[in-house]
Amino acid sequence: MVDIGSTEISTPELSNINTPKQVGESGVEKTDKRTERKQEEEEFNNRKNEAVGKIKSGEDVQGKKLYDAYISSLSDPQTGDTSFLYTEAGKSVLNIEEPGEANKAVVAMDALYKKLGSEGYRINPKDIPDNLSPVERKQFLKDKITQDYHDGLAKKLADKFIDSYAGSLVELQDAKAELKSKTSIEDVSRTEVRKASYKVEDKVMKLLHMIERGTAQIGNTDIGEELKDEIEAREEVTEYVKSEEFGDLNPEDQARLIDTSVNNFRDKLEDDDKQQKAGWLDRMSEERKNATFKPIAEKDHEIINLRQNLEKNLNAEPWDICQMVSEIKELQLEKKALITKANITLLEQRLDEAKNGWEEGWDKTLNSFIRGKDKGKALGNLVSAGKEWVSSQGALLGEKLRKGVSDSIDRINSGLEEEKDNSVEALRNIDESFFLEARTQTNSIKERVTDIVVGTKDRVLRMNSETRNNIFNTERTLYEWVHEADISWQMSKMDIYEKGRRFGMETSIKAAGIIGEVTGRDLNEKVDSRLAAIERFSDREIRNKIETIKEENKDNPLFKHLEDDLERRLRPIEKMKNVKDKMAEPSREDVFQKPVITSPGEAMTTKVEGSISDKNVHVESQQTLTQDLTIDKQTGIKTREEYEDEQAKQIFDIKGKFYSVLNQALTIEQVFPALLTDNNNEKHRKFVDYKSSSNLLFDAIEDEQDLDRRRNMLMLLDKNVQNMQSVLDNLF
Amino acid sequence: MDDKQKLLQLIKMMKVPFSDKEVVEFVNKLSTESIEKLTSIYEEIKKFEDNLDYVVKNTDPVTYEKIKEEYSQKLLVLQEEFIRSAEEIQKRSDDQLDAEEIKSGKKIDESTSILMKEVDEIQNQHDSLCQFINQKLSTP
Repeated sequence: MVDIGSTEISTPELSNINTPKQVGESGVEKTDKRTERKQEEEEFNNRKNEAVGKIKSGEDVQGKKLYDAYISSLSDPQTGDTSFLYTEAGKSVLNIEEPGEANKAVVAMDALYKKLGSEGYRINPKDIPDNLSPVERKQFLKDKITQDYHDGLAKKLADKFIDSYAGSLVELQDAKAELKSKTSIEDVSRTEVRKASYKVEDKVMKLLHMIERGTAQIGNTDIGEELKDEIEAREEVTEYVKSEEFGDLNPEDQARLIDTSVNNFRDKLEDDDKQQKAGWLDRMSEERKNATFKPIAEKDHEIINLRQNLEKNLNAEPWDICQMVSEIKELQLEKKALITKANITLLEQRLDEAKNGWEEGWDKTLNSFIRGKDKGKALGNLVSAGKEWVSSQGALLGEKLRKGVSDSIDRINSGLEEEKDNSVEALRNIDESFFLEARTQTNSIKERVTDIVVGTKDRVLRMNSETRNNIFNTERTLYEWVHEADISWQMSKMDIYEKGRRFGMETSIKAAGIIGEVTGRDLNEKVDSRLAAIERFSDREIRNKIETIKEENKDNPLFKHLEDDLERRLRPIEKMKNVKDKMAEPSREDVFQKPVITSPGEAMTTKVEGSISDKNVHVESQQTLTQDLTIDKQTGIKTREEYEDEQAKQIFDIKGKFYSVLNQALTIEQVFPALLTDNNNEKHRKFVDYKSSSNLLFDAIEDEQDLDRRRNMLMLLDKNVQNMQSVLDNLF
Repeated sequence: MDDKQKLLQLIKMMKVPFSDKEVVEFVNKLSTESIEKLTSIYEEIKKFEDNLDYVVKNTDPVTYEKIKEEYSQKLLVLQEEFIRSAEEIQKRSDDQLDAEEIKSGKKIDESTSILMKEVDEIQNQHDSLCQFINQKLSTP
């Protein structure tokens, strides 16, 4: 078992800590940065420790489940290397008084300590009292090993296992805090939120990956899937926010929000003509004020609702968060347009007030110059002055305005001809022309502003939808690739299984990694039951079951996906079965691959139909291994080739045991320095002799062609290794 | 855990290329018989794969660890690539929308600024007309 901690996911924050310093930085800056990084690292570790505390106390429910699953996995030797070593060490500690068990405990514990990242299991010679007799010393060491095993080894392993989970959790919490800070800014930035939200997604993904990997390592994929679901639910919890529309608010609240919008608008008026603008604002009719600021209040309310929604849904998928931010930005643009329109309304207020001023001005003009004794002449002067002004300024006027002014002057003129005074009405019309010209402009800009915003809104909606579709398509591709990777992972295992079967699974089992090396124990039994289950598996039965539900689901397009998946999983199994069946058919080769061992005497005398009379084979007899014989297929007597294979396997096995013993000796030397040399000189000498002799034999046996001599050498080697083990077993 | 939940979990564990929403939709559409049979089919295949995993892990641990590490890394890389691609897609859209909004904001500001000038101009012209007439009328 490899601990979960081996999936080191680098933290940008922490990885920065080791970033080389920039050239040119001053010494003070370097020191400051170093101190800052150290503080960040300390802070991170403190929070990680807090997270570990929560895991152990059960406050972090899923963390605790993971921790507990690991602890229980330690007592199940079938889980993997770590639990195997742990249980083996436990068994040896329990039987520590038996010869050789202390060695086994030490070797297994040493391997476990190495898994924890330390140099290995060590006992400081200073901790061993000097005044002990050899017997007392042995007992002291046995007690010490027992104590070290029981005193928190499981806890240390579990702490190591949970460490990366805690670290990833803290990184995720940091990323979430950063996202929260980015979304709470008034002028929220798409770029900042996008970066922060995708960082959260990355951290969630890594945490889930860690769970999957960790639980797979403790052989508990079921709990892994459960935990992933629970952690996803926990870390990606979102909340439905029931927002109250502006229209649903009571009139008092609506009025209050409108007042707030008016006040905010007033506060943000530009300084240079703030007073004047504030005056226009204050003099607006309630109707105009309401018509202007109600949409702003509505927009503000909408933005607040969306912000609350965002705040409660920071755990949503990043594309959803980005879309919410996009909607906020779009509403902010709409609000900007409404504020612009409010400014235009201020302008309209200004025009209304100006128009009243114009009327008063004309009244003064009429009173001063027209309403006198010589009214006709005065009106004539008014007409000629008006015409003169139009001819000098008219080019600057818009066509409609020029016509309006000219028509009004003509109207005074035509009144004169009819001896009528049309001046008051005509001057009002002039004002109206100017006023309408200005209002046409304000209305046109208001419409333009609306068009700009509507156009942008349409584009935002379109792009958000396109973006979402593109991301979903990418996600679909991810699902397909992950599925592909899973199928390919299963097939790789089938390949290894196939090779193992072809070349002899038993040999492989005996050489099974550290477990085999360290303990020398055989995994045959445990693997056998699983092997039998694999062989029993019937892809045909599964296919028959699929057939029974195919018709019922033929119109379900997703069922097709499932069928594809099943087909892709079953096809290699079927292929594997076919190869096996082919191998099982009787064939000329099969006689030599799967011999039935019978007694040599029987083989030499029995002949039946179908014999391979032209085949010369070497069989084992009581006298010699090199006698050439013609044998019958039914006898299954070993060929020379088979015998050589068998001996090769024996050499392999003995070599495995030999290295296992050497490994034990090496570990013992490291754990208790000089135990083998200084305190057990005689035993050490014997051990070295056996070792040297074995090395010579291993070299010689490779070149030896005589099978009898090889057999003798094998026996000697086996004895040597047993003697070496015996020396070690008697050290304690 | 009932069969429906078991099947949901199995489909996810086998990494069948469905989204979470699709898995739920799919399972909800199945008859009880189909759920039962599919659950049993996937349970058997899962058991086979678990047994295979155990045997390979214990018979050839070195190769097993190597391919397992490769598989684990592959999953991590695929996830990372997806997040990178999704962020890139998002970025392209964000950049365009930001640019669009800046452009729209500018257009709004420009329109307003032109309007202010035009309205000022109209008022000035009115003032100019009044002044001109008053001046002409006041001249004997």
